[in-house]
Amino acid sequence: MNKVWVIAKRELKSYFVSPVAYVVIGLFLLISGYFFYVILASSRMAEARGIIMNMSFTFMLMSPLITMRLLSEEKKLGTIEFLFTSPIKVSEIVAGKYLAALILFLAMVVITFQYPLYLILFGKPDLGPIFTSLLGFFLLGGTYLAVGLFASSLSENQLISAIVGMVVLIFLWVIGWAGDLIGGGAGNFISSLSMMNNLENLGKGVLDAGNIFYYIAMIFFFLFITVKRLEWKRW
Amino acid sequence: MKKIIENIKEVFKKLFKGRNLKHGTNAVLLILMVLGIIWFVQRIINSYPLQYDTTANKQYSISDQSRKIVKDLKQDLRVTVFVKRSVLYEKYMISLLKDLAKVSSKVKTKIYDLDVDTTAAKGYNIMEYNTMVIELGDKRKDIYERDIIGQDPRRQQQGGVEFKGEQAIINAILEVQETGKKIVYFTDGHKEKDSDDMKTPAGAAVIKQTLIGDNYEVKKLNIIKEGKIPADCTVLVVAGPQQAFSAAEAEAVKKYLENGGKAMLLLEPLVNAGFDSVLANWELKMDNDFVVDTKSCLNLVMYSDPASPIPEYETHAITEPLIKNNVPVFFPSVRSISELEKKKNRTIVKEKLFMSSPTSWGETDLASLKSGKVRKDAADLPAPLCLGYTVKEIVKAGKEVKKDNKKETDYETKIVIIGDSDFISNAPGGVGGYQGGTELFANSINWLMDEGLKIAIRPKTVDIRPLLLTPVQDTIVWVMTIFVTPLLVVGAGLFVWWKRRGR
Repeated sequence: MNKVWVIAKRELKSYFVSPVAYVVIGLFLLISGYFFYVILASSRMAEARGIIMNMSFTFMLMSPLITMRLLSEEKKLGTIEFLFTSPIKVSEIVAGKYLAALILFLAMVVITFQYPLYLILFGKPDLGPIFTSLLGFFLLGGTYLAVGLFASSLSENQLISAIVGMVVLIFLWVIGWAGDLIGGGAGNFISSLSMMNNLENLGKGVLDAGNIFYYIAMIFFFLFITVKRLEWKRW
Repeated sequence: MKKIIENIKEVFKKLFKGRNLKHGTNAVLLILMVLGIIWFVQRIINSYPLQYDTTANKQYSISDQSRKIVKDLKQDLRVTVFVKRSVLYEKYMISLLKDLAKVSSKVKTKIYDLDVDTTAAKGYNIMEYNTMVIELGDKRKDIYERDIIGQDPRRQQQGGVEFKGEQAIINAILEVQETGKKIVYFTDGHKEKDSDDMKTPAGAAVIKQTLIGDNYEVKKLNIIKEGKIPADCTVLVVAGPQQAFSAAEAEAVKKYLENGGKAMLLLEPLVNAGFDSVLANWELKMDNDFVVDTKSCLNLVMYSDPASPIPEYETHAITEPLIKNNVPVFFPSVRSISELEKKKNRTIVKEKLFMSSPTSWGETDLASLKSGKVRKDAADLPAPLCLGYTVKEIVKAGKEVKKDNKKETDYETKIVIIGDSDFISNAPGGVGGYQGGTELFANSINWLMDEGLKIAIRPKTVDIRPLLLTPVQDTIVWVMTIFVTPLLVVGAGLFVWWKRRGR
């Protein structure tokens, strides 16, 4: 665990010494702040569902910018070979890098707490759905980052990693529509893979074990194949 | 091109080289195994209702009583829904059915797009969007969108809606679960409306079909032949006899009602149906009149009929759906009904169903009807006149009955009395396709059978929490969210960059 933390700290430091993280977070906050205000002004409802859906979509497009350099840069600079030859396991490298991205994302989520705060200060929102929406957003964001990290393991070109990550995320986002079109058992199975469909319950205030497991499983799966990908590369 | 092919060859050579191939195959197998485990666990989790509804009004939870009813299902419950895609109903219903299916594996659901799956719709004879068919064994109950989505009376101004899907489905389950058919008997032998006559406008076969569609069995009954009202009679319908019932027949009806029977008496004007003693027993009498209304009556462009009044509804479980949906009903030739003096030691609950309008009167000079010169005069009954009553009386079964604590051993006599029968005919007043009469009849039968809600579940309302910002609050929100916070973060970035540049 200590080794994971060492890697995470190193990554976090590199995030915060470069202006990229600040620009990405700032841009995300600008867009989600705009959505929050517009939705609030037009709907005049003290609820977080609409803003969470919009934030989720925005972060889906931006998250590969956070993860693209995590492994691609190491590969490009050749520093990944040092990591491979060090006593740190590949799984620890992946966990450490993921943890760093997750902490950065958590910082963003904490800043977005201001939105429900305004709702509580100026209105009487139903707090349950607000809490579950934020939880859903955090789990969804965590999944984005795992997918992005995997994409980053595929190429040493950061741009390619970002594009691949984005394509996979968009695919996992819209796959539910295909499920709706197909219908029946196959359609239901396809719909159950959709990141958007799994957010629905949490968005409306229902904590569903199936939905929560979906996100945790997705995170685990993408981190697992990232480890396998790197191990394969090492051989 | 040659170079690219060479490169691909090289990649494949590397890929399938001893160690690489072995490691790659292992990795793929492992990944497949992990996927399999995830899929398996997800399936197990999804098969259990592991959910917690955090909303304040438990908007997305199935009530405990519904859960119990669904869990206790002994055979497969088939729920088939014909939807119009992408409307509120579809979303709500899919979510509700998923939840019910999680409670019991006996719930089998199918959702069809009515515009696309026309074969299935034809098979079920469905023509209306958002119709749900509940089937258990060979029993079927249809539920319509209007039974499920309604306007929230408390939030009409905000366009609030309420969902009664759970309520409707659970009550339908209870209904199709009931063993034994309910039989509606139509009396015969006095030139009543014929429930088998589909050909003539005066027949009542359309009504019969409505009852069959609602899982009732419909039979004819000649009381003289049978000697009594059969024990399996759930509701007795006397549909506009043109000849009087004999004293013995009327006595049989009275006896049946006194023992907790249910009857619908539709008695036409100008005819003595022989029910005076029966009605008098429940403190009512049919007036010997013919209600005329010159204003509130059947008034088609080419045809106006003062002898077909359109009454005003009184608030009652029977008339409530008609009032809510603004569906009028007209009675082609109707007589009024009056109350008699109250009897001591009897608790008879009489409720009015509809009253004639202030412009009406009860014509007592019946001879003038033939001449067509009807005029309101002093001898006529003044408006408003009651055209329909319901009667309820709890019949004690030898045990003490406490108020609001009705014992199961007690019976309840229920009667619906209306001064007309033409409204249940295939084409009342020769006007085809009129729905008000059918609905009134079906509602009355349901009321008589206690087929209202068997179980009361609070409708789910959309919890709307309005937030109207004052100008100051509005400014705080947009300044903070769109400017201050993003700029603070970017500013911090610029500061870090500037500091590092300075080093």
